[in-house]
Amino acid sequence: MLTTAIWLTMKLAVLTTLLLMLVGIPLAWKLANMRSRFRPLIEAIVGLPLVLPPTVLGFYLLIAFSPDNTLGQWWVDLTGSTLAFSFSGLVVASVLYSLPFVVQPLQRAFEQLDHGLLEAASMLGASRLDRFINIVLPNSLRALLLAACMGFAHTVGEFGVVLMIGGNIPGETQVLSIALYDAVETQQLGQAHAMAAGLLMFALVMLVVLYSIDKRQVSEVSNR
Amino acid sequence: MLKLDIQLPRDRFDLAIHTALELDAVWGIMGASGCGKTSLLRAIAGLEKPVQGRIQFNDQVWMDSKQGVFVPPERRRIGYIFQEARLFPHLSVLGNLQFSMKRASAGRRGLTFVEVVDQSGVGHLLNRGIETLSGGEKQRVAIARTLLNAPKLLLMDEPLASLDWDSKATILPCLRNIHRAFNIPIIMVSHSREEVARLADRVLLLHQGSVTGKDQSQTLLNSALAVDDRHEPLLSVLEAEVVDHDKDYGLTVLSVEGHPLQVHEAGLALGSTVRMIVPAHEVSIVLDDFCDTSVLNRLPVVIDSIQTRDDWHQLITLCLGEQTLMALVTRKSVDRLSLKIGMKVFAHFKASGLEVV
Repeated sequence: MLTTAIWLTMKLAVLTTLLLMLVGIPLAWKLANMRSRFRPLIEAIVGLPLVLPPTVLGFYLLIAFSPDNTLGQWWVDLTGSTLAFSFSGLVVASVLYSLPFVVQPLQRAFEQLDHGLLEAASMLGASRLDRFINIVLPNSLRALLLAACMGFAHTVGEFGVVLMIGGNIPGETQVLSIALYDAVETQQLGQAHAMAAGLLMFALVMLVVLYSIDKRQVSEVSNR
Repeated sequence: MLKLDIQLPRDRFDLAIHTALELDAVWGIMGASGCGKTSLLRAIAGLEKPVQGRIQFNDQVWMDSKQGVFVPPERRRIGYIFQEARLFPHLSVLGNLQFSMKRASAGRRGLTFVEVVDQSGVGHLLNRGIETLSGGEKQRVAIARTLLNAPKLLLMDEPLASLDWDSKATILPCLRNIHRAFNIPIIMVSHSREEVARLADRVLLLHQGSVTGKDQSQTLLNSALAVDDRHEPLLSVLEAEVVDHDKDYGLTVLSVEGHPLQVHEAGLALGSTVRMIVPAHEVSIVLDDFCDTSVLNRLPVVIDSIQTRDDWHQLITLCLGEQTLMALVTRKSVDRLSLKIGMKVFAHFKASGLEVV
């Protein structure tokens, strides 16, 4: 049970982080360069999971995933199985739930980027995509790493959303945080201790890594 | 020919430029700060989005707001040297140069890497990181990076403004050589008369967003029109022909309007035309044709105008044939010698006070 849960958690976190970066990088760049009056609205929607009880997000996702609704029906037609109470459903939910943790640090880094460098690159003949790949991304490496770590750690730590839409199916949706809850409910305190300590250590290590990235970034900026 | 017909709304006034610049010369765009010099340069480059009007470079239309034509900056093939070097901090010096070479215009005879590195003197910096360079080194790398891109036109926005004197002294010859050696048209923005005197052949004067003057740089620089900044060193520019070398004394003899002048400057080709920068405070005025003096250079001139510079100094404009020379003298001297407009006098200045460009 323990190894299955660890394996499932890692699989979920890695997949979610990859998808988050894929979605979050363009979204953060778009937001950082957006001058429309809709910008605060979009920022608010992306940021909702920061303040919303995870159960609220889980509840609405559960409804959206139901085969009675367009999204759920479309998924069933596409794959033959439902999104709710499946690993795929967890991935979709995790991406939405952790999105602000990836988008916000990236957006901040993109906003602070010296746009003079982009002008210089365009005068040298670099197209928009070329500038993004060869100037923006390499100059935002720390923020990219930071965002990926945040997304990964936050996905490992989620509980409420998973419980709402994934339930507790070993090997499919029973991630570590759920397995811990399950172990306590069924009085398997030894297992619970192992998982709790493991998650604690993971969180601590992750935060140390995060803060050291952040510190280095701060000291680099102040050295300039 | 670069045809400009543009409007750009700005905070205090509208930039409105309707002119054409011949591209066989180095152009200097001059004017007080905030007159729209940099905006004009950025509009030519395509970096200012809300520009209205039309920009045509030779037979290519870069922008025509009526017909909805806008060629993005990366397809105009312009080299732009910014005030700050804007080197890419994640790349080394060599990385910055390679970034530019990879994206150089195809089909144009590119300048070879060796040529450019030699001209700009960055050979010893190639493996250095950007953070370790001095201001002057950064600007030289930026110049090399721009040249390796094989631009069709070079725009420079006060390329020397942020540099100390030593760096200027090494970059100026490098910039001068660019135009001569690589035959790239140059438009530079500057508020420094000295920079313009050294580099530009022709000058466009801007005031509050409009063109107020357009002429040969020496004509404009020597006219009082361009003298509006009291803190700028006053200087005049003389055009001269190299006629002889006096090897015994290490002097070169030039001819200005038929009169000989001697300067300390080796390596000038006989018969070539050069420009001389004469600071106004180096010029003194003598009434008689008086030659028992250690001062080597003596030109017969006619007083054209006398202007009050400040409480104690007056600026005298002197005619020498077609050219003009400025002398900054004390009010006391003007009174003592009874200098008047139309008087024939002699202008004296030392060989060491001159600079040949």
